[in-house]
Amino acid sequence: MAGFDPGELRCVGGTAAGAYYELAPDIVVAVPRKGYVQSEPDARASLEEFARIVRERGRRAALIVLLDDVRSQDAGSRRVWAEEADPALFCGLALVCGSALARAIASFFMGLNRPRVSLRMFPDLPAAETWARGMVEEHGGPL
Amino acid sequence: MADPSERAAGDAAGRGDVAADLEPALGRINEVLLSIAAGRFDARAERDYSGDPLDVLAFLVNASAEEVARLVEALRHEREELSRAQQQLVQSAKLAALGQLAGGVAHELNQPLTVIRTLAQLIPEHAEARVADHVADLELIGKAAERMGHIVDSVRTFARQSSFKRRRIEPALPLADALELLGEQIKQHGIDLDLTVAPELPLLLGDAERLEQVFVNLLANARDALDALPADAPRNIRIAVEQDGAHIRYTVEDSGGGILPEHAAQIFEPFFTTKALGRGTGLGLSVSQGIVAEHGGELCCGSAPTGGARFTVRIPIRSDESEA
Repeated sequence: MAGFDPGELRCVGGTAAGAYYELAPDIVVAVPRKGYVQSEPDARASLEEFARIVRERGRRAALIVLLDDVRSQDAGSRRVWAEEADPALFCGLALVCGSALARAIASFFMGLNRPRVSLRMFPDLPAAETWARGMVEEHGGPL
Repeated sequence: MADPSERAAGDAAGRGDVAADLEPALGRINEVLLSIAAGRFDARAERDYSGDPLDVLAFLVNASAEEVARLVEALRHEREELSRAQQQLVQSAKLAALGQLAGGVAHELNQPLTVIRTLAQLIPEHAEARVADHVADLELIGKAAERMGHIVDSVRTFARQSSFKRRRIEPALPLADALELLGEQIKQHGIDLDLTVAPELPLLLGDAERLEQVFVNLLANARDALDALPADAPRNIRIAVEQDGAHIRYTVEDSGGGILPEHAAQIFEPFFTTKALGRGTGLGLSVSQGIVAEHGGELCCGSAPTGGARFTVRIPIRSDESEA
């Protein structure tokens, strides 16, 4: 989401692609850096970082990704998400898409390369957070 | 306040400017799409990463190209896997058929072997005779050995695993090869064989070894159907090879009990067999149909005038195509 201000949120991890913040218990929000273009190694690094955060806490989490600052994602990185995202670590994956480009990127991600985790697209962060809370309530808990 | 007609003209001019601005970019995207349509999946639309509508369009075009390339590659890989699996199935069915032929082949080998053994025993009994006195016997031994070599070659050729390869062949060749393997057995089973090959047939573009497998299967099925008849029932197999327009048509019919209507729909399904356990794998007809389809032909079943089964194989002649 363009101009997202993490404010008092606690940073729980990060990669060259951006940072991860704790939005609420068992809800992590990924904030890519502005103009980010995701490649296959980047996607793998992002997934590994999320796995590290979740394993460190010992509890499944919902991940919200703010896609508005992402400028592109190639087929290799879509495949990494589809094949390597471990469903045991995720309560759900929410994509926040406020722009046409973000919606286009998310559409390819969700259509032909759907990861094996519960996945939804949202127009804004509050809607994504509400869904994520429900997913945590339903599927959250220790690993 | 501006005159409404002036404002409309201004709006139209504005829209014209926008269209003129978009034209080069849309032209470039159009070119990329044409390249992709032509199979050049590495073509990419240029992007400025601004997120404006043209940039989004460029992303959609590029992502589509990437995904189409991936799907095409996956499809190519799956086709290769399927082709390999089909090849293995053809070979398995061939070896199964060979296993069922083994008894007959052994019997066929035994005949010339008996000639050789008998003459080899007789010759030493006339040790005083000169070699020249045994020329006729030695010729018989030579012919018997030649016959055995021929039988062994037929079996070896039939069992060989080979990829699908079409050549120009005499249409009767695969049938003759199949009869080389099964002809003697058919005679031993008291079956009259009537083979009619139309004169001056054009050469056929086909894989002789694969087509031989088809006829081995059809002839073995006919033989088994006739074996099931009462002892005094007439046993006939009629084979005809003729031209049927742009195809060569092979007809194999027998005077057996025919195909039951309830079996007709399943007869080409893999593993469907009406034979007793151990007598048939149920692969013969399905593999035969696959081989005929590989040639662009068709294999059909029906009833012969005698009430027995009739199988028709139609293979396109394809005189204008290159060998593959």
